[in-house]
Amino acid sequence: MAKRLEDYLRRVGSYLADEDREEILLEIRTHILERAGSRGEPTAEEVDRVLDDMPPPRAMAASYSEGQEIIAPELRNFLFLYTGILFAVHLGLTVVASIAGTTLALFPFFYAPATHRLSSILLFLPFAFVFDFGLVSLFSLPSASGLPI
Amino acid sequence: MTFDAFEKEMNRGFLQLLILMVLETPLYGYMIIKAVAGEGYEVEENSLYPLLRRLESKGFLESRWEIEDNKPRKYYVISQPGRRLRARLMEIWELQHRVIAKFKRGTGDG
Repeated sequence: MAKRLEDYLRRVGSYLADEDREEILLEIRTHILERAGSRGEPTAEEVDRVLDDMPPPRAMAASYSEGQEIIAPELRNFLFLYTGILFAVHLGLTVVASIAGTTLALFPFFYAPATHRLSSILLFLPFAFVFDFGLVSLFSLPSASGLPI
Repeated sequence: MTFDAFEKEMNRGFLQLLILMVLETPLYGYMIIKAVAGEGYEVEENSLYPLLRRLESKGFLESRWEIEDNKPRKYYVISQPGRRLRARLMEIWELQHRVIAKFKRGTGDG
């Protein structure tokens, strides 16, 4: 009994944010044991039956973060637009850097290596895109939208 | 959006109001589920517990842990701001109920 219950709680916990994790898990544990042993101490079979009926660990944990968006919904439309603009600038600088043979960098926003090899440029561009996407995402956090979360 | 998603969306507001009404008496999660199930309404764990935490974090519920029968139980009860919220939500619910009842007559749904 203990192993399966502990495994369920461990998996729920792995999806929860650190804050309040222990208390949430204690409350879920209590609930499972209460439901399983409504007429006294639960048996292994009773706990198993409750676990079979519980939401999957990820769904259980996800319900605690409902409404806590990583990207502010009102900024979502701009995410790809601004990423596209930033990447276009990055691409332009990369072309300029390769023609001029000079590394261009504006820390921490841009880095365009000096390389004449097309294969190196093609390898670099996906990294640049992911970096640009991450940078725009940082400015799209709900707290960055200036609205109450 | 599936029927389930619509149902979930509709139940969300109802459940908030229901919890604020049920918790006039201190109860822990499983007791709430049983109390409400006794009236024929099923509440899922992954709806109830996160909602209790959200209402508590906003100050509409108060809570305390108690050890009973060697089991730790977290009891929730409505707070004063929770009562004010409940009164406001009840007004909204009663208005919605009246409006739906009025327009339902025209739908032929009985």
